[in-house]
Amino acid sequence: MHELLPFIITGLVTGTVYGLAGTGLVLTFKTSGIFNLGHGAVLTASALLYYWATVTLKWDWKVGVVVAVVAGGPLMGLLIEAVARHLSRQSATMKIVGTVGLTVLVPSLCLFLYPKSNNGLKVPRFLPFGNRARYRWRVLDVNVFGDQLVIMGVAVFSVAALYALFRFTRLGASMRAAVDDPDLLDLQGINPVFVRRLAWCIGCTFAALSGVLILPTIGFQAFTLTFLATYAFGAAAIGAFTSIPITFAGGLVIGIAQDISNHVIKNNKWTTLDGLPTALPFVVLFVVLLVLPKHKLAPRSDAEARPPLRWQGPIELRLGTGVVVLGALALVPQIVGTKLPWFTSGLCQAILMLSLGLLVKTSGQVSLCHATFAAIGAVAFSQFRVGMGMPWLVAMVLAALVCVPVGAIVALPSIRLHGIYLALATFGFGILVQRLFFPQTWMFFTFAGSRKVPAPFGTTNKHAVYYLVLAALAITAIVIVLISQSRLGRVLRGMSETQTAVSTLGLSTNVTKVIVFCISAFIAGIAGVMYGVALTSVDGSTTAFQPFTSLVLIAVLALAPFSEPWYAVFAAITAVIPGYLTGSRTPNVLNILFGFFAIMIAMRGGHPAMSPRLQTVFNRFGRQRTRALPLSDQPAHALVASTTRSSGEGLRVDELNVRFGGLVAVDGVTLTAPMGRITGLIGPNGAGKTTTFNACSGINRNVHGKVSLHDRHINDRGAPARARLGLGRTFQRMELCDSLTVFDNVSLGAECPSAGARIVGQIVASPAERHLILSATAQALELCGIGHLADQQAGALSTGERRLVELARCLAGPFDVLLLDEPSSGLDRDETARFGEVLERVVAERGCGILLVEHDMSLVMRVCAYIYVLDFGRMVFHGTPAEVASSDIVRAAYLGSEAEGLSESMASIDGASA
Amino acid sequence: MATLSSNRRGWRIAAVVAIGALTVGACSSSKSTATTTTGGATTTTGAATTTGAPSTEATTTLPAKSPILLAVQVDATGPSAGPAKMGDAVKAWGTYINAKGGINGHPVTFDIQDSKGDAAASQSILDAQVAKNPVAMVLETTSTEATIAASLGALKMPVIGFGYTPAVWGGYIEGFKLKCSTDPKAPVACALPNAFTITTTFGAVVDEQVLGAQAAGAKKLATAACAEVAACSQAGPVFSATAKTLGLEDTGTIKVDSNKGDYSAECIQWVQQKVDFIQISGSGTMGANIFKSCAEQGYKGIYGASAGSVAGDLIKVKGITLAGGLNAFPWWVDDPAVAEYRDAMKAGGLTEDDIASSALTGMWSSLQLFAKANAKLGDTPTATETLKNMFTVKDETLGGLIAPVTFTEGQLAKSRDCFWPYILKDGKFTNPLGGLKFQCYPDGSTAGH
Repeated sequence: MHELLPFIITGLVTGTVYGLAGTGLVLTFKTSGIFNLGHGAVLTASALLYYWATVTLKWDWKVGVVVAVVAGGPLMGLLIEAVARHLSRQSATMKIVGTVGLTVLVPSLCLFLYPKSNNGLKVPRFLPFGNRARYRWRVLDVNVFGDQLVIMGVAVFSVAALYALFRFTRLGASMRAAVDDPDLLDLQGINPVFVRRLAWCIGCTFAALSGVLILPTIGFQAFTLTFLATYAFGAAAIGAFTSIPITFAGGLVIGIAQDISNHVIKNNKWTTLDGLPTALPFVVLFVVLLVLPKHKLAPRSDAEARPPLRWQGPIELRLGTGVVVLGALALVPQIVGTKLPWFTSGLCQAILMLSLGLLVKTSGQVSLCHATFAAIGAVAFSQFRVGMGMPWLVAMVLAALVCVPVGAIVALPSIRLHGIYLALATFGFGILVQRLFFPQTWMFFTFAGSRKVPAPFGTTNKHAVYYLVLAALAITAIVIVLISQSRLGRVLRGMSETQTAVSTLGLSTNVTKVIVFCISAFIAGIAGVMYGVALTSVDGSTTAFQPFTSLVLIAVLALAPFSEPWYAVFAAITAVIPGYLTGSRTPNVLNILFGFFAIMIAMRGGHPAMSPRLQTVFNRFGRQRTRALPLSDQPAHALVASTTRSSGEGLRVDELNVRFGGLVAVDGVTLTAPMGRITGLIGPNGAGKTTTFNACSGINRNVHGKVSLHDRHINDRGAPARARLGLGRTFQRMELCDSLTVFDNVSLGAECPSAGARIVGQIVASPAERHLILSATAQALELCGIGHLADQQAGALSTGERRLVELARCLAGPFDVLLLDEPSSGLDRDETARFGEVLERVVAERGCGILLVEHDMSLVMRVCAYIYVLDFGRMVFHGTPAEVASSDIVRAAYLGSEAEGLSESMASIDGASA
Repeated sequence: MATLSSNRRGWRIAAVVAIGALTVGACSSSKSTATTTTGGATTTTGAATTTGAPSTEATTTLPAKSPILLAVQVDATGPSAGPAKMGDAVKAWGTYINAKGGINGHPVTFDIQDSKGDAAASQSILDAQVAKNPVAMVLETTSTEATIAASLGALKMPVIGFGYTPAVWGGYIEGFKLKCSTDPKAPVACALPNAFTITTTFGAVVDEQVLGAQAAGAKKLATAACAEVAACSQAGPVFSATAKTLGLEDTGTIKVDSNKGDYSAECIQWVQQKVDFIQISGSGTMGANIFKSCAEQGYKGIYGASAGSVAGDLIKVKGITLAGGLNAFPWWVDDPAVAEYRDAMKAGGLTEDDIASSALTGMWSSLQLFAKANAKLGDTPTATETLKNMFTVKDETLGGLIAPVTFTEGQLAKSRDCFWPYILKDGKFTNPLGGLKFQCYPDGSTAGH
């Protein structure tokens, strides 16, 4: 034990910087909801400012600190706050792209300005007590120096001050509230924008301080400084991304653990774990994200801008373009001469991009470790082909298959994590593999220094290799297009835009995520093999396999216009540019551009939709097709056979209790929604109606009480399983796939339960299933009177139309108990009347049960046979519409919270009962 | 509508920014990389070749015969770039050789390209260079040479320069119980049939480190290897085995983050283990930082570095005692042949710091050998001719600059197991064997003068 003590001291010094950087990161996350993956970029930018001021301009170090920290930190904070404000309205993927863009942009800018910063530029020690010969103390067999103590002191003081500000001041409380409820903050007379700006200024100043403090120790090295902040991700994870003091402590723990583990591994000669100490922050990050209770993580943001509308050209145009592009690519070897290797690499990148695009663009998941999949594919191929002498094609397929379980491992976090947490987990995984496994003998640590990746028949003919990669790209592109048009593609797009909806429609998204990660990893493995074949051999420093490449790939993907497979062509072009602009700074300039435009595009939420004028032009290249709706007499619920439902009693809830921390949202509610009846569930805002729905449908399973469907206890089942048992629902805040057509949205109602939790079932639908789905979709569209909207995109519809689409989606599925959450909101009087008729017709024809949450009392009174009234989470009354209308308790409940709408509501009740 | 036009304007501005930035990139490209040099009369397609040619060059009379082109590929920038100013050194040699009348009256020109450590770039550059009909390929691309090995081997021209990949330059792989094979599927390929290796090859580059430690009086060894590059720690097991053979104790390798800056923890560990020799297997900057940290934690032993690592930041560290071996002749030795190197480099604009590099002396030796082998180059030189001429080299030492070398057509280049030991103490380099003497492993024989 005694021999470990010195390493605690040395680890404290390193850990202080991790902790300080992590603290700034957590601060901005807490106050803006944006996890700044580009935190290291801020740190690097401040280091650049300091270097510029003190070394280039030879100003005094104090002036340098003022420029880089006192002025630079807040200025960068304001700049990033402006970016973050735009990002806060965008999807999680766009938030990640925006901050990744920053990570790509800043170090590349530093290298552009100071090319030698790649190898490190020295910065003199500047802190007080920096004379190490003079200010030195012996502590536990370690020499500790004055400037180290200054760094620790500054860090501890800064973090303590920040904690005090957060904990004990009104401003701190405002900062905490800025992300939770900015509107409420505004009502209190505190400008939430000001508070957010202040928080970003403080957070970035912390990053700037970290950068300047560490600068004399490691020198000005752009990428090192940028990635130093990623060490702080582990610290932030320990602090559950929320606690400032625990994050700081986490940084210290990681610093100490690194030094101690290094010592222990060395002493025990555990050479396999040589890379563990440097990978430790990422091991911590990955493990914490896997085990941290979900409720400790910030929930998914539900205030996201609608995605841009998708437009797909006519099939003739797409096929024609495909032939032209393929033809042009086939001619490349005859045209480009000695630049051919660049084009071959470009095609490899296109394959990798297709793999990433399937994951990111189609399914809405994030991977910041795709270069790692490619590396694994290349190494596995080399092992199979060179090491074991397997046939080339077999080796390639097996190599790609090796990536599949790796993809499944990476998919594990995606099952419980979303957005930024998933991005962090994949990023951590990529660096972990690089640090821990790249140097292993079975990976890149070979005697020859690199792994041979031979082409088929051992050919070294560059034209042959190019055509091989082109063939692989063409096949991959076709596969991706087929996937996109298959059931898997449809459910992936559904999951991408509204995971909640597809889950409650019966799709086991956990299975879907694992499937898409596995397919994506498989294709990335193929890309890795192709990279290897193009290069003839690969090693641990091959550019295409570096973690930073994964970040650049995401940025390029964000820049790439068009849908699959065309964005891959764009990626290929970007890879070829350095072949023609051969300057030493070209890669940096390109990365600056990728980073800059990735930020710009992320702020806009993606590429804008194609203008109608252009659409018209392109539409001339093909025949306009209108969808023929195959109406059928077969009811939608025939899709899933069930013996229990027809004889079941519908939905039953007994003594339901739901708590959110100290708040009791639902308290002992008991109700039934039997088959063949419309049951109302009313109450003022905040009464617990939607919370009850969420508990019934399985979105929130952290509840007490009993939920039964058709006499079957379903508490232990997730939302998809409940849906597959027949429980369908709509949402108060509509959950539609805005970039899909109405038809595609509605068909998800039938597609998702059919896909269910089966692996094969999620990938393909049998012809019979497909026919039933089309039939059910057409029937639901007709029933809701929106058949004429079938080919329109849901995002372009009015609120009322969107409500009907959501209802149609629910009706297209094999659901016999429907939970409808304010479905008439946004409908006009006529539409509401027609809507009521639809509900009555559905119940009459299908015999299903409906539980209706609705504020339109006239509708409730007209269609409901029985009504439950909630107030403050408690069941205050239940009875027939007439009994409810005459109840003083109900009047009192509405009087207590909705005085403004009281007279209207009661008049409605009175009118209806009369 | 206003928003729309504002957005459009924004995108237009962004497009202008993009075009401008690419233009800057394009401009920088021609400045720093694509350089065609005609020995004394530099015709550089960009103005900013770092050192440029001295002003006297313009008055140098070019040799009368047709010029010959040497294709040069170096790691000048990118993640694997070393501190050596290789491109400038090659040009300086060109100036020197052309001032002496070129190679049998043929002025030497260069096509110097930067691989940036990128394999695709390296391959593309190679193809483009071959299309220009050079008479030899000059390499210093250690990070990409394995990737382009197959293409290099197919060339009907000599491949000169230096590197470490056994599949290109050969090496003492038998010592590792391995056999090379010309089968493309074999894990360890043999040296290229057209590679003319003169610097220390794989195997001996590890041995020279241990022998350097022994020569410096070390007893207990340790290695600090960079964690990012597998090759940094590759030598670890070999290092240990050789140390054991020589009766030294090796405590093993610690992988370190080469950019960490502060290595106090590692240093304390070495102090605890009473290590007296720390082999640096990584960049010079990493070595300098390790020295700084270890000195602050009380380590007073010796440091080891070999070959190209003995350059840049590491040898400028005040107070460091450094020992090991060099892959090519020592630059500081008082010898006419070495003085010629130093003078030529200085005339080419390189500084004393730049010249202090066995990477540059290795390149110098290779180019000198090429010039000597082609001393009777015909009036219409071809790559085939220079290749044939290289096989006429027999027991050549270049006046003591290299260990004797013989090339025979049909035989692969043999491993080069000799090196020049050195000690750097109090800022001064010495060869413990004296002068230009070198040592060979495994027999331990010494030779040279």
